[in-house]
Amino acid sequence: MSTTTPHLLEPYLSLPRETSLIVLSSILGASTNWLLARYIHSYLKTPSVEGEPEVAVLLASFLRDYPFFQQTLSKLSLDLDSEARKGRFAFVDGLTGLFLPSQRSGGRLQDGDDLRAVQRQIGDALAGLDAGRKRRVVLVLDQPDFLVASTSAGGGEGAGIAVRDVILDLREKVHSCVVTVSADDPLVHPPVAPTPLETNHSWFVLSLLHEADMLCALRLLDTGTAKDVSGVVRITSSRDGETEDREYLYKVGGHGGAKVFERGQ
Amino acid sequence: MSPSAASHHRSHSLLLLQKLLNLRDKASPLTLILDNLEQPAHPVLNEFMTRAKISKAKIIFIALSTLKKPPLADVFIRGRHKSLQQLASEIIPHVTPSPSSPNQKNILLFDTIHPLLSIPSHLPSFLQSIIPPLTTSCLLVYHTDIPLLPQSNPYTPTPLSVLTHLSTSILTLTPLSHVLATKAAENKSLPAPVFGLHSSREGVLLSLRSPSSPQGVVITMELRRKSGRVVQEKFVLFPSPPTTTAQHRQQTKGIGGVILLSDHPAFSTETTEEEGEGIQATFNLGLTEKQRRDREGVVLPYFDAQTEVGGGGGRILYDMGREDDFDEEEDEI
Repeated sequence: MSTTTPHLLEPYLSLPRETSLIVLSSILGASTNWLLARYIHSYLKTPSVEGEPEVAVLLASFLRDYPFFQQTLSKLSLDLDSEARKGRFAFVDGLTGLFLPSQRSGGRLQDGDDLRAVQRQIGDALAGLDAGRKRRVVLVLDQPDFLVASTSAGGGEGAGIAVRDVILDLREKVHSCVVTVSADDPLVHPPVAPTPLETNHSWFVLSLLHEADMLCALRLLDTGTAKDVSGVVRITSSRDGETEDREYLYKVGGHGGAKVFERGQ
Repeated sequence: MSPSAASHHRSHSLLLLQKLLNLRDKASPLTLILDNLEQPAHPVLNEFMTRAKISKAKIIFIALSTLKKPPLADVFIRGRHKSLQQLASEIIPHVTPSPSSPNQKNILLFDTIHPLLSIPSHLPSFLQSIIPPLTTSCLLVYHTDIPLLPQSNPYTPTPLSVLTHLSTSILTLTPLSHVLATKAAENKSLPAPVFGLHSSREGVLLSLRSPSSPQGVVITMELRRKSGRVVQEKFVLFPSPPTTTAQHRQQTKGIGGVILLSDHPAFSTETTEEEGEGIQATFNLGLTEKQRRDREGVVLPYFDAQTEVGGGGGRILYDMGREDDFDEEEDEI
């Protein structure tokens, strides 16, 4: 089980174009953690080129905390603490403290307070990373669709629009952006009488997909379960025919290793 | 349809689409482009912008979800975090005809209309304020797969119905590869294939597209003429590929090619030409001249019975053979 970058994924893990957006979608049985870790690993290991500013990664996670990422990336032999000391990595914890009383100003909860707090936190971390040395920052957002579900902005009904605006504002300040979202059926195909959560989530995810330059969609094997395959990853790019659309099978091992291979191997 | 009428219809429809794309004669002040994830509107928007550049129209791009200014746009207006009035006040100075160039054509492009749809009843007045007649054409892109957010007043019409009511032409986009796959399945009476979001597999959001599949956009155009007549036609737009040689691009000026969908080889209903001897056999199934003449000369039996029509039909004709015996009493007919 390899703990290095899978060979077949290498063309997709290189530093993306400016202002591009990469979306990784997951479902309940197929999570994006392994893929996201390899993206972060690849960006931080980008060899620095003469004359071009070095690459830094700002990771903001809304469902997982720092020790989790530390552990996952240490299995790929990447030390997040040392990268943070070098000024090439920063982590924003979007979950703990989001709803604690200390965040609210003056004790009264205002519409969209939590979103503004998140935006401020990320903006501050961004300024910290970028200060002085003019690095190219890649913003990695892990599951901002949780914000869509939890925020009170827009009276709950405009939550999708509010979060999307926040992401667009943030994207203007960084080199490029990677976002992970959940794409389970009930969340993407709202039923006949949808709840506000379902409508907002699908609005958010589909709007994001319309803007995305590349989409890596993870799902389970179509034919059921198998011992040597965890799932299928389908990589599609925006429709200008530049990169080929491919579909690979992958297997995530116990110790953080992941193997990506083609069908029939 | 006779060949001349078919070619007339073809040139007429192509002319309509060319007029629309080139913004000639104020063909359509408000064009609505309905796209989806499988077929985004970028190729069509680029086509409009390329042709507008050639005809020296001013291209005003209003970005509600794009971050970078497209290279062909003349004016780039960011539309986020602005109310409809603010946006209108920003757009109007660019579209009002200035005294120095009263005939300057403008084209307004919205890369997505969704963030402005929160109150659909405000749309008509907004659109009317930013589209002065005679000089400006406006293109709106509406993503059909993004669901409707719950509206404050459930009795007002949906944004899509307001937009389709207002627009003077509606272009619905589908990818050419999907249309061809559906047609192939139809020819074999198989169920139509499903793509992307609509396939029932969880986690599938976009369909795979192989590089060998035909690149093209099928545009279903519904054009509402000034007389009130509606013209509906399907076209295929082939975007000019970026890999053509520089000389070729100079000749075509980067414009894509347009044909009618019914002219596409997979859709043509013309019968195939005479194939001659279709059956491959080791013996000759043809006729020589002598055999043909003999065949012409054969007299079919009971020919006489067919000459008399009406009551005489069915008359029995009896030719006596050598051994037959004609008995006058019994065998009278």
